[in-house]
Formats: sequence, C-alpha cells, structure tokens
Amino acid sequence: MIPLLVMLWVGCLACHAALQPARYRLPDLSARYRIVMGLVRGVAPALALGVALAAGVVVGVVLWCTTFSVAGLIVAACIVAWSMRRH
Amino acid sequence: MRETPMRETLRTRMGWLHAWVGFICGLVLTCICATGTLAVFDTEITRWMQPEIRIPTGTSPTDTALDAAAARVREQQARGVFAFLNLPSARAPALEILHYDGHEFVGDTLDPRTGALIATRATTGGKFFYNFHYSLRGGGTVGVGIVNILALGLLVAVGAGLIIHLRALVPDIVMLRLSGSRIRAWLDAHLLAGVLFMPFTVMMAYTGILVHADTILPAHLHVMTAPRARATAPPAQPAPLRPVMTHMRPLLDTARARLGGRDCGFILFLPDRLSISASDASGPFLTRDHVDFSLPDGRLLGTTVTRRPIAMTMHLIHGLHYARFAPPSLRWLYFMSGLGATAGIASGLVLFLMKRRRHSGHRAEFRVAEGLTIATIVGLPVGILSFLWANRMLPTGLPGREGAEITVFFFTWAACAMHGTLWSGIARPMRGWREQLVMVAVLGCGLPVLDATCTMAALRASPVLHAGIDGMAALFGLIALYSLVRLYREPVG
Repeated sequence: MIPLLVMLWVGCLACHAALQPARYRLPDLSARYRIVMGLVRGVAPALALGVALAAGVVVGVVLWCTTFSVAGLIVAACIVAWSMRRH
Repeated sequence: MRETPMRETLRTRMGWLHAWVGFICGLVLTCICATGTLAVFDTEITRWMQPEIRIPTGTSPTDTALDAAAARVREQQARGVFAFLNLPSARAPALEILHYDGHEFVGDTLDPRTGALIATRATTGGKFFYNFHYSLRGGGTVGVGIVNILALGLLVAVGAGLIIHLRALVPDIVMLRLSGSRIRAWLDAHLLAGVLFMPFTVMMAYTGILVHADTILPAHLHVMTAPRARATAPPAQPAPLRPVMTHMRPLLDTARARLGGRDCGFILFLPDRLSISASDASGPFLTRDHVDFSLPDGRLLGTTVTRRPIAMTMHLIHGLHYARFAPPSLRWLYFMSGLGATAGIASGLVLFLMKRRRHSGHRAEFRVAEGLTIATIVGLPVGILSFLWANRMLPTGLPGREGAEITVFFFTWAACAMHGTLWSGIARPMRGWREQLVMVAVLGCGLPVLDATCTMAALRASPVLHAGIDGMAALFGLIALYSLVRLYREPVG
C-alpha cells in the first residue's frame, strides 16, 4: 500500500510543480496538459486518502501524512536533478 | 494597501520569534528529535547490541519456558526486586524479566524455547535513546518538564514559521534551489523539510506534550500542598507473596480470549494475583487493558477494559506517539519523518548562524552559539556512533558495562562540544565542522566492518537487522563524507 500512496502523492506534487513552470523553472505546458495535470493534482490526494483509510482511520491518516512527506522529498530531488542536468 | 505595513510588522515579529525561540529550543530539540527517531527502532537496536540473543523471530514460548519464567519472577520479587514478565513479540523474540532501574526497564533474558537464561552482555541498548528522548537521561521529572517546555517552544516556532511562510506555503511546497546562493539553498532546505514534515512534527510535539502534560500542568497540586498527615503513619506490612502454582499457558489463552483476540504483552505478578495486559502492538490505542487471575490457583478474577472517551483519546495520543502498533513499513515511515523533522530543526540552526555571521560573527556569544551548534549537529552523531562502537569494543564481562557505554557516549559528546567551541572561539569554526564530520564518516562507515568482525554469528542469524543498523550507520558516514567534500570545495559563507 505504501508504494501506491507514495506514487499517488508523487503524481500530485509533480503536477503541482509542473503547473507553476516559472516558479520551478520547468518548461511551459500546453493548455490541454494543464487541465489533465490540474485534475491529477486534485484527485490524487483524495484517492490516496481513500486507499490509506483501508488500513483503518488512525493508521490511514498517519500513512497519508507520512507518505506525503516522503513523496515531497522525491519530487524536490527529481526537480533538482532535472534542473542540474538541464543547466 | 493600508494592511501592508501591519502585515509586514507581524511577519517581522514572527521572524524574530521563529529565529530566537527556534534557535534556543532547537539546540536541544535536535538532540531530542534525533534520539526519538532512533527510539522508533529501540527494540531492534537493543537486539543489535545484544548479539548473544540469536532466537528466530516468531518463536512462540513453550509451556516450560513460561512456567520457568514465572518462577524466576517470583524469586526476584522475594529478593525485593519488582520484576515483571515481558512476553515475546514480533520485534523481540525473547522472554524478558524486567524491572525499572530508575532510567530504563532492564533485566534477564530467557530463551522462549527452554526458559534458560541467556548470558547477554550488559547494555541499556536502544532504551538509552528512548530515555534520553523524553527525560534527557537521568533528568527525572525536571528533565521531562524541560523536554515538554521545549516541545511547546517547537510548536511556537512552527506556528511563527507558518505565519512567515504562509503566502508561499503551498506554491513552494517542493521548492529546492541548490544552484543559487548558499543561504538560499539552506533556506530552501529548511523550508522543504519544515513544510513537508510539519504534520508529523506537530503531531509528535503535541502528543509528546500530552503524554507528560502532568509535569508542566500538575493536576494534583493540592496533594503536594496538603499537610502530610499520612506520612507519620507506620508503613503497611507488604502482603505475603503467594506462589504461582498454576501453568501460564491456559491463563494466557484465557486472557487473549477475554481481550478480544489481542496478543498479550506482559504479566505483572502481584502478591495475591497476576495481571496479564494486552500487547502495545495490538493497535493504535495504547491501552492498559488487562485480565486478572487469583493466585495460587489461577482463577479468573475479571477483565479491565477502558472504553471511556477521554481515556480512549489519551490511549490514542500515547499510541500515536509511541508507535508501538506500527508494522515495519510504517515504522520506517516514522523513522524517515523523524529524520526529516530533525533535519528541519538542524537546518534552521545553521541558517540562524549564517544570517548573523557577517554582523555578529566576531562576538563571543556568536562563537559559543556556533560551537554548541557544531556539538549538536555533528557532535551528537559522533556520540551515538561511539556508543555503538563501545558496545562492540568493551569487554563483555566488564562490571558496570552498561554505564560504561553511556559514559563513552557523554564523554565523546562533551569532547565534541569542547572541540567545536574551541575552534569556533578562535574564529575557525569550519575546522570544527570538518574534523567532526571526519569522525562521523570514519565511525559510520567503519561500523559495518566492526560488526562483521566482532559478531559474525549474530550477523548470520539476523542479517536483516544487522544490515538495517549497519547500513544506516554507513549511510550517515557517507552523508558526512559528502558534506565534508562540499565544505572543502566551497568558500566559507
């Protein structure tokens, strides 16, 4: 379950970064991609919460929060690696 | 437009509060967070530090072993030791007869298959980190109170930081710019760790405060101020210890059934009865539900199950903080989140110094502060790794061995503090950072080699356990090495 939760959060946070290309110095996206990414950013956390709650309310919320933190680090590291490679 | 000056004033004030409360509390909070993070794996660290125990996990105790353990508990109680029996679990496969020595629960380890005593080296193990985390080791009630006040300080610093960073909180949530200026990179790292791990940090600080809330908000103040009428009464005679004439196995089966199928955690042997408690690992609610049996016949006396809302809330708070219910995967998430929270505080300490170096770097207070920061961020890992090295290097039969390990920890840490303060005092702090990073790198990368050299048999018996602890030590060694290389490459900021 944890890898799935991390993947969902990574998807959400990656889309969050991609939707702000100027801030994160990422390439601009076309309007169609922006809509899809906006959807993923909105739906993925809710989906992750639904998956996490299968382990019980308390454990589920703890899993949801902790996987968010780990996924955030992964996305930040990926953006750094990408921008270093690019520049 | 009119609101701008006021908002700026609020942010400025919050910036001051965040910096000073964060730095003053952060020096100790880094140590508390780091040891708390290690305490997530306290049982595993204890197993690593007692390589003589080579019992496969999942070994259930035999009837003979349980009865032998019960007899041994009574024997110790007859000698005036208030011992109890800790049952094997998925994390600790041995039977343990424990008593509280004023700091930790220590005692004998028995083989769950035979009930025979296992001759292990004396060590406080991972319980040392647990004890340090909540009481600063030996601080008693005062130590617990200090930790609680510092946790309140952490919540204040987090709240102030939240207000400062509120506008960019969501947009910058995964922002990390390592290619910019050094101060920008450290600020981004601080914000990244601080924001991403904020839910965990707040949860742990809040639950930690509530677990020991009575130390800062005593509910029974009148007891302390009331005249001590009873103190003059003659002490009551202790009740005679009744022998345990019954077998343990049927009692455990009954207890398990009465506790709704939950595993049993430990058995308290009172003079006239015994009490079997539910395991802490049986759920996120850390209850003290138990089943009582009379002695010597083992007749069922009753079951105590707490279901009141306030009690259940406190059980949940305890459960969330102690995380004893957590399976290995969730335990790793706790560990990583603890590391993230520690990194957030530690990076804040570095930022505090970086921002003030230009204007206040020549002042004695600044130099002391930098020396203490070196001791906290690099000296503590040196102390922790020395503690683990001491476990392998000290003779197993050394009298007072567990105390010697702790002495090594504190001595090394104090030496690091003096070393850091000395170099900082003569305006060469980078040398202090570098030399202590070398120590972390050597001790961390050397630990797997030392472990393999000293305890190959234990490594073969529990390869995952040893790989986990040795691997983490090596990883920290490599991170220290990388930091060292970066410090040599870049000019002092």
